[in-house]
Amino acid sequence: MLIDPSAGLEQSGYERLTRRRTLVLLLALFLFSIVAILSLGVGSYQLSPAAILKALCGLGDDGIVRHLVWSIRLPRTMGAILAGAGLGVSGIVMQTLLKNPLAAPSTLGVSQGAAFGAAFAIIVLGAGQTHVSGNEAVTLTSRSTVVISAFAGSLITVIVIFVLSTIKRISAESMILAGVAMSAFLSACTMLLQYFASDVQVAATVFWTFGDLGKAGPPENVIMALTLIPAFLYFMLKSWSYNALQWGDDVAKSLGVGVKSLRLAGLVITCLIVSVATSFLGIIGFIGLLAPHLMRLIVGNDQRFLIPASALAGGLLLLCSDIFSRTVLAPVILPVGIITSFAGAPLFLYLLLTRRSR
Amino acid sequence: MISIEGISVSYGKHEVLKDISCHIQGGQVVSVLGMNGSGKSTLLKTINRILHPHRGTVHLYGQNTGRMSREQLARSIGYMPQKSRAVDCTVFEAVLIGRKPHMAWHVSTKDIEETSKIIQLMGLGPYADRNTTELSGGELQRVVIARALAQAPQVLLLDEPVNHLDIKSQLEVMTLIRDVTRRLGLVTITVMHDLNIALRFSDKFMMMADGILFATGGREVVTAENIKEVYKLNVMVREMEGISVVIPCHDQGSCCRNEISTTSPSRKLRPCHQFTNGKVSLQYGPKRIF
Repeated sequence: MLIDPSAGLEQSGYERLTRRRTLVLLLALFLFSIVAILSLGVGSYQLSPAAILKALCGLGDDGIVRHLVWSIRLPRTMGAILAGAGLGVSGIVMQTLLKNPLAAPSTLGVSQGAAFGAAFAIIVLGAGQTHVSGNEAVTLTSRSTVVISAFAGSLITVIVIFVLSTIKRISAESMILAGVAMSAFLSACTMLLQYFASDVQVAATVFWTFGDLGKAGPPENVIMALTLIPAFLYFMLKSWSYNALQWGDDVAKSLGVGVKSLRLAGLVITCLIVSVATSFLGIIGFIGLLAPHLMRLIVGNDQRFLIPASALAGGLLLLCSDIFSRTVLAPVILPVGIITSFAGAPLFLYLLLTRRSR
Repeated sequence: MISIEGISVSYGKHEVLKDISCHIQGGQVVSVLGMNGSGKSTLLKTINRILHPHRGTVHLYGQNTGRMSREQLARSIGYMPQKSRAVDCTVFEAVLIGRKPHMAWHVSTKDIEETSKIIQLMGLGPYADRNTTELSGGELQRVVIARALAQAPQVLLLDEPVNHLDIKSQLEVMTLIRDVTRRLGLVTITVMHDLNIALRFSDKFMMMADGILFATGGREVVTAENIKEVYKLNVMVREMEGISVVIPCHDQGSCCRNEISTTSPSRKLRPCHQFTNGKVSLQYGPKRIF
């Protein structure tokens, strides 16, 4: 008899695993919500959860609290959630599509493209005519020019990826090497611009590259949400194809996956998410790399769970980093990009070592 | 039934498959034999449309595969590549992915049941919850075959299915492949390097050399002469307990002596190669279509 009558015993193991992963996602969502509320309350003016909820519901008489929550803390928190989730999702999709655990927005040169665009706007287009005033030593006078230029800069990477994968048909493994080369090239371009710039322009460029959630306002958040939500749904829809791709291109093709179109669409969409976030907020390192690795240890490699888990972890990591950046030297608010890189590097090394020891 | 009609495939200017044609009936295990680089794996990839032929067509039960959607093809053809690496997931998940062409986003009870059956069938029950990165090469090989079977295909393409397996596992896996093929009426095409395993378990053979289908047919095509031509190797083909056995020769002379001195009652051996000025003179019949 070819089929054993005891067939079906394994399904309990798989169902157990699925239940556990669902539970982890729900726990992460709960933790995420708690930290988001905490983020609204933390700062030089502390707010209790009750005061936050009242302000969010439009209740209570304190106009200052309502203004603080709606105009300052909420845009910042939403910015952290959207940018963190976007970077986390982009990280996992890039890693899967390029079959490389080191694939991340910075590895492909998207962040460096944005930095070059910003430097170009500040130094060449004159958007960096800065002035010294109040708390901010360097303030960009023409922010929209910098944002558009940074976005255009990061699109350079998207175009290069598009050309390399469609016309030159390079492999996924080679694409990451092309990304490294692009990063080096764009960094060199930025340095060349800075070499010929004035001290103030160089200061403005450096200031822009600091990832800062203070730059997030309602319009920026709306654009980030409009980019992220459809992209997230698309990635979730394709999660089985990403699962198949982990076994190699040939296996994925034999399972009915259109590998070329899947890879191209995925890379262009992830680059767009990162481009939007980076051009609004500056460079925020390590979230795209760290969030997927962290969640892979907990929920495994099934992309149906790993994609939303990476989004939650990305948002959570950026929220925690932002809270830390607002409290560690309060009332001074550190740029969150510094915190993510400071905390991200040792945490990533720790993950690598624990993974190896397993 | 699968019909391959005049397919040719090129990598750049180099033509790796040249005008291959054959017809294979359901319920048969067909072994593709030939040296490395002869085009065996390319043939499998072309049948599965992983590679596109620049000439020729493949028909699956009368339907041109070139006109089938990728999903439709995935429901009809199961494929196991030559090299498989482990992925960080359980054996159950690794086999379940084979159900992708049949399932929606949500995994149905039927998908879980089918996967469980295949896992039991391949003797992977005790490993179902283990991570594939913890498996031996042979165990992983079984997982990969199980994934191809989970596609519930009409055609099974296996590129070196007994690679990495010990002799006992080779016999078990090939017995299983043959049984499943016959029971479900599949067309199973396997790339094989072990001629003896191929002779033991295959119904038909395709011998390839330099991208050309050199000989096709039943066991009668696996002769010392054909092996010499395809592999550039001197061998004896003997009949032992009703099974053909290929024995490599130490030198040309030993093969001749052995072939002359032994006569099998069940099968008449061909005479020793005819040597003319130190070169082997061989005779080949026309390509056979089975």
